[in-house]
Amino acid sequence: MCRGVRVNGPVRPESVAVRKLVITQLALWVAGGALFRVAVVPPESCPQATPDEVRAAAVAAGDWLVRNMADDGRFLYGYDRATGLANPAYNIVRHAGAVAALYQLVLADETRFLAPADRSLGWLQANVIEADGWAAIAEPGARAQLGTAGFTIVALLRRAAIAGDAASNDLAATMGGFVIAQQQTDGSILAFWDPETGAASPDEYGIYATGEALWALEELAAVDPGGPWGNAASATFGYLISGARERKEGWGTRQPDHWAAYALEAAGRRGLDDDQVGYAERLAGYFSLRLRIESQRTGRGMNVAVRGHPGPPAGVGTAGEGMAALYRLAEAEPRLGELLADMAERLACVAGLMVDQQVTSEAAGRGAPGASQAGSAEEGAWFYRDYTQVDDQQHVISLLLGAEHAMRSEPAP
Amino acid sequence: MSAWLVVLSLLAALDPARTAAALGSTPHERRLGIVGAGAAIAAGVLILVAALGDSILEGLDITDETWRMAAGIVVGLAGVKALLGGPTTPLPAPLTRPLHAIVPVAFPLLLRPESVVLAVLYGATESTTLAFGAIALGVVAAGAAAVATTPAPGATTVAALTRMMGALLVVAAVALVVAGIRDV
Repeated sequence: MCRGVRVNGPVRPESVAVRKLVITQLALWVAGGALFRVAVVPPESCPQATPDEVRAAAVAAGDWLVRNMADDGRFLYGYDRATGLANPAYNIVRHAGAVAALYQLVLADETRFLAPADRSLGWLQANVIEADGWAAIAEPGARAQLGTAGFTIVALLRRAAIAGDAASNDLAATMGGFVIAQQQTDGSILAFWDPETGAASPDEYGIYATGEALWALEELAAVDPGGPWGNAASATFGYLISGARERKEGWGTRQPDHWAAYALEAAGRRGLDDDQVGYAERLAGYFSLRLRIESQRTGRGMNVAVRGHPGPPAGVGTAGEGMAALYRLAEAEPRLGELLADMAERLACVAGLMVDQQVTSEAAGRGAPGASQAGSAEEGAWFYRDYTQVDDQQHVISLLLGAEHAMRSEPAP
Repeated sequence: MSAWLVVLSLLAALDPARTAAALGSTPHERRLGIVGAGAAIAAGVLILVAALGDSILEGLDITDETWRMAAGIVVGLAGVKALLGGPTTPLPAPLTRPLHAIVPVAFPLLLRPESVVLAVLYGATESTTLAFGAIALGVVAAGAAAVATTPAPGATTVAALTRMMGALLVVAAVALVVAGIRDV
């Protein structure tokens, strides 16, 4: 039988044309739909975790920090489970961040972390330097870093809140003087102070340091409303919100600054202006996008080609803790209230992911006869391509505690 | 999203000029029945898809915000194709049978990837009135253009109108992607 001819007669020409059109279109829809699903909208996977499981994961990560802490209060900086080797490097800013995270655990009623938090804070206090009426932190021969000061101020204020420790508040305020001394008239804040020259290192800014310092200023403003902190923080907020930072520091895109989210949370106690509310909304959008993409990553097959490997825990943690800070802000800020449900959804999702990905006691081989040192450096940690670092645990602890809060406070549907 | 963007993006996705040009060889007296039925079928399908928008996204394990960005990509590609593509080719033969209301009028002339992804999106994220109303408006406009435009518009007119719709789709795509980035 010839193509295009029916048994009972010739096929109408429009039928042939329509049939070809339908077949072509259906093929395009099927192929396009498959490509669309794989490359553009892979499913967002959100493992379920209860608030108790989320809390347990945060505590297990805190245990990792403490279990691998040296006598002088320094943390295990990094560990490669493929080689079994510890990373001998150290980063004082990340140390200070981890100290602040330990105090966050204490504030969440995990009081057994107080003593190790104090020990790790002690290492920072042993490196205090003073000049021109202010104090900063720097290892011998090294420059003082703005980020270290920012985190140390937050850690000190948290300690003061826990223990009613006036000395911690005083040191925090003295270190706040360092932040203000580094601040420029446009609100930018120089990232280093050089003991050799006795001056701030010109034209050097930190991608995270400005936000860390801003957060510290806002926390100081909260405990000392009459001090200079609020005005200084407002100037730096203007620098961030206006986009001046990106222009001055050479960034091509607006920075999704999770530390600025903490600063907004703290600033919420003083009341936010409309620009700050808009900035909070924008940051929430960035964090949400980051977390949605993370939930689409399986680390397997074609998904790796279109979405990449599951992100470094510190990277996921920063987006999550930034979202958590904005969630707490939104609870008290009616102009952000409509975002609460979506933020809670993102936080629950990423918390489930991180609980799922944490190395458990069983997986680390601890509890087994002859449990190894390696197990001690694995249990409670999150790894990215077989490597974990102190800030992986630090950021995810803050994310998980924030997510737990959101999960417990989310109104029933 | 603004109501204007919802309406205009759906109108551009349904592209009345392209529909009118595609039916160029169909006798005018047959158009009203075939196109009217085809438009009604397309509207029905799009409204059904919109009504099921939430369920579809839930079934796909996709959040509204991710779908908004994905829709922006699909709409953007369609817009670029309309901007840069050649003139719309009329169907090779006139449509005469009632079944032609389903194929090719409803599918694939009106039920296109860009109109379907937008129907899912607006169904899931906008009010029922706005989503259904915008779909109805777009389909009616496309159908009316196909029925009322006789003789078929000239190639230059079709190309200009299609490019205009393409530009509108690109604008809508950018708005969708930006909104998808900023949404929480």
